[in-house]
Amino acid sequence: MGYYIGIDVGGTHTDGVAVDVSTGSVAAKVKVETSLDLYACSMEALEGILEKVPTKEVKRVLFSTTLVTNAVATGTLEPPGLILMAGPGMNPSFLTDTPDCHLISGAMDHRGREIVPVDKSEIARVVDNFLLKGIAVVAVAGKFSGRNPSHELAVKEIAADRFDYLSLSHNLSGALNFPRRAITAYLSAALWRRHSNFISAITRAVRGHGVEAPLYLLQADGGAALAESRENGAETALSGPAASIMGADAMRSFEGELLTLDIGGTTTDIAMLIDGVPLLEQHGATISGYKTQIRSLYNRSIPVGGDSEVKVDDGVLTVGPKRRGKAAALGGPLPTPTDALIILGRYAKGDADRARKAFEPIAKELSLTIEEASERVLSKLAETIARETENFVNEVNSRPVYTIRELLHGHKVAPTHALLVGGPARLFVPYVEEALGIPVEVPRHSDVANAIGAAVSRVSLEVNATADTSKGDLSIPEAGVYRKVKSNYSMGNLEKETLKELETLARSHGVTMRGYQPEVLESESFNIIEGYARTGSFHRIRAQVRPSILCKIKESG
Amino acid sequence: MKFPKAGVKTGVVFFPAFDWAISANHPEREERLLYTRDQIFEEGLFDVEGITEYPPSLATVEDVERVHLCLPSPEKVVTSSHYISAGGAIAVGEAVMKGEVERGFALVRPPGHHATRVVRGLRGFCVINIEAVMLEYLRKQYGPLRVAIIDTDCHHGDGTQEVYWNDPDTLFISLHQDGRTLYPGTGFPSEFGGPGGYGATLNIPMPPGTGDKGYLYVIDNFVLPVLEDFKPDLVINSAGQDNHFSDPLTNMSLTAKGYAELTRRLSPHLAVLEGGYSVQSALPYVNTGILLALAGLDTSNVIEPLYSPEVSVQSKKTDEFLKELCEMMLYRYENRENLFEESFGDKEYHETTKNLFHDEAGISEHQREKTRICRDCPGVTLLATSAPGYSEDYLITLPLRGCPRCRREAEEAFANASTEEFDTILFQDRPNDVTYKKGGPKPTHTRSRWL
Ligand SMILES: [Zn+2]
Ligand SMILES: [Zn+2]
Repeated sequence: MGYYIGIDVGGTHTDGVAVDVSTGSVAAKVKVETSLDLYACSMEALEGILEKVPTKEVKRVLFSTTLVTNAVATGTLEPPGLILMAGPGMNPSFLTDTPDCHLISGAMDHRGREIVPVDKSEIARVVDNFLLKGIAVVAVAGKFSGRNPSHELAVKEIAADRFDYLSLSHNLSGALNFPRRAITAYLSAALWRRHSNFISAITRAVRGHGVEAPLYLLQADGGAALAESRENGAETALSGPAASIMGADAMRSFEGELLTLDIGGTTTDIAMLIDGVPLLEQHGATISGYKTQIRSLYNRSIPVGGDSEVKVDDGVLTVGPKRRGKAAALGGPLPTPTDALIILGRYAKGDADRARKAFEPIAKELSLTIEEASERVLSKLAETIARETENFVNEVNSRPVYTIRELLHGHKVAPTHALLVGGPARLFVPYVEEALGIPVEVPRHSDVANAIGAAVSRVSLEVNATADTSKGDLSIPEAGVYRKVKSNYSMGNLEKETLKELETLARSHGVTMRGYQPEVLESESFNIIEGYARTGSFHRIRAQVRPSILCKIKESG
Repeated sequence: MKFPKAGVKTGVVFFPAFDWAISANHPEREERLLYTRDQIFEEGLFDVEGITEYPPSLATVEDVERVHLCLPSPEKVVTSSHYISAGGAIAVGEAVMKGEVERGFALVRPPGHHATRVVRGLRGFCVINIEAVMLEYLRKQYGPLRVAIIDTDCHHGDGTQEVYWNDPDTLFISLHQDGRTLYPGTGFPSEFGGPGGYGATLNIPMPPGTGDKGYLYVIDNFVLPVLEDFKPDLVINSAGQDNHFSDPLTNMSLTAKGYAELTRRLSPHLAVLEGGYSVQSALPYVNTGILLALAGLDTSNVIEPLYSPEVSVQSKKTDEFLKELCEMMLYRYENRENLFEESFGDKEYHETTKNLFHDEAGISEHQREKTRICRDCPGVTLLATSAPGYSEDYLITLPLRGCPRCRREAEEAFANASTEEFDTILFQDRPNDVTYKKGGPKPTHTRSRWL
């Protein structure tokens, strides 16, 4: 018994749902307008839900918010001090172009062997300089710090306790990609204050309503994390599309490859579920042009939707990419696909005469009747979505692989069904179905798919473990594990230890152990040969608790 | 905090073949590009705007047989890894030809520059010539191309030289450690091309210990002037990295920065990885340097940990030797027409014999070759090859620009060649892009232990 509450703050609406755990039904739904104060509208939605379900019965509350996405997009970041140890390779000037960046000595090679030591007096000078300038948050990143974090830790030793927040890149991701790791550390420092204030505020408010259930935040990969365990606010960016795909997953059981299309007013988000698991980005999320190492959904956002501008130029019809306002029928300035639906009598909303009037010039230029022009506009919208979907699938299929086995026998995706979610999704079905050439469904509650996804999303995590038995080093950066291993430490040992650490980490992030399913995503093992002799082995594992859902939503609910 | 933008759009196929080795402790083994992978991933090179990673395509048997006679058959000697490695080169080649990128880097293995026309197994870690398979594919797809292949691998690119020996449209220049001191023991100035391609094969054997200065001197004072004159449509760099000062198999003194600078000056359209066996100390840095240089990005920070200014210092004697060698080779190149007259005069055919050893396959081979000296085309080539204990075979090659007279001769040779005399007879009709085959592998023949 009990309820999972999901609150999704979207661009125009903030939705809330309560999912009844025992029946899998949607017990309450709330929709409020998103205001500039994201905290206020989150609370308004939460209060709306709490009016309908008993607070004692709430098992978890999860927030999916655009707080971080907006802060990055508008550049309202707290300027952090940045300390980089770049070592040999690409010229790091593209990372040092922020106001308070210091490139200090200290370099590691690809096996985590020190090339250049750090200079403690140099670190002390940089720290003093930051303090003098009133910098309160600091990010530190070194190349190959995941293989050997000692240089980043040397900075911590000097800087810790002197700043409000210190973000060390090796704690954020064990995957290789120094610039992305540095950028992620930078954002996590820049967002830290805003993010932790938001967590404090919602925690206070939720507790104030008498809800004692744990509080979670949705991450970019569609997984949840316990609010108090997550320092890195950047991980909650782009949670909107993530919420939407988790909602699709909750509402539809599907074995195989399922496309999910979230048709909104301005944009359409394309993503994919494979056997119920969302497809993830290979390297990490891109947030307003910042390439990060944050695990995220593989999502393509295209600038067409129900409110896209419809135009004819030299006889050529275009839908999007701009949105000029609401549909003409609802008082907007220009004709839109939504007007087409209203003209055709598929959508009973607004002033149909205004829609017809707005469509007159379009119809005239195309030498069609207003109804024909409306049909044409909806087909055009669907064709654009279908074309981008094809590109999306091609992109997925041309992801690089590095072994002969994968290249020759690797699976190529070919989605057989599509699920439409978003406000007026149902109305577009015939057009999208025709353009895609595969069956298209709309789940019940598709209007609050995001909030449902938020309500039922489970904790997800990834760890990257590396053992170099020649050096005798083991590292699992995400779990903070760095220790010595013996020369006979095997792949089997590494797998066992990695999964154990993953579980410990998962527990601290608030995982529910029922149905806990860790998995190894990649593993590789090589001989290390120096001169002509084998001196040890290099084992590497990438393991995860994948984003998934706590329960399915029953159609009848 | 945004990734830099490449000055030159560059496509990369990275295919490390992590599940393929010649044998466990062989230099050509699984983890050869492991540390390179770690370095380029940690650098985030594939996130640079304008650097695009392409998946390799798979070369086909037809692609291979445009270049090679595979014995006893392609199925028996060419493995998936080779089709992918050549396919990787093809994928970047296509990206350049289609104009999607200006330059391409095939960071693939296994290598190919020791593979000659007749393939009987592994030769110098190579089975098929991935540059040649790529180039002939591109010529089929995009029409005639004037191409320069600059082979900077430390070993003489004897396979590529042999494939293009008689092709005037493919300039082959090899910079390598002197053949008297290193495998395969060839690559001397006197090796200057067959009658159809005389002066389009140019060898620069360099003394052991040659450093950045010497390499760049040869690029500036020999390679670039020859390219200026040859005017290729496409420049391919066989980018072996075993000339690095830390390479365990060789004795040269090139640094990562030196290699990057060489790449920048050469500005090849395509770079294809060949050898390079200092997998930890050199390859991660050299490959980073090559990719950055191709993409027009700064390479001044590409410094391998073992670097010190002394590692690349070469002797005065080497300076002088290279100066004289470049002058002599430029003279030979400029006077190639006169030299042709001296060598071939008004003969109708040029006939040669040679012995080849497929080292790792352990097969000795005797070849007799006859090339028609033709005024209208590079001339038809007839090659009879015999490997005692294995097979006797025959390869007829009508070049892409083959004239009617040479075609008649090639067709007659194919019609007259008897399967009594030869096991496999292959006719490469390049103008029509078809191969005709008679005979084939017989079950009685011993199979190579490498298959
Ligand atoms: Zn070599
Ligand atoms: Zn001829």
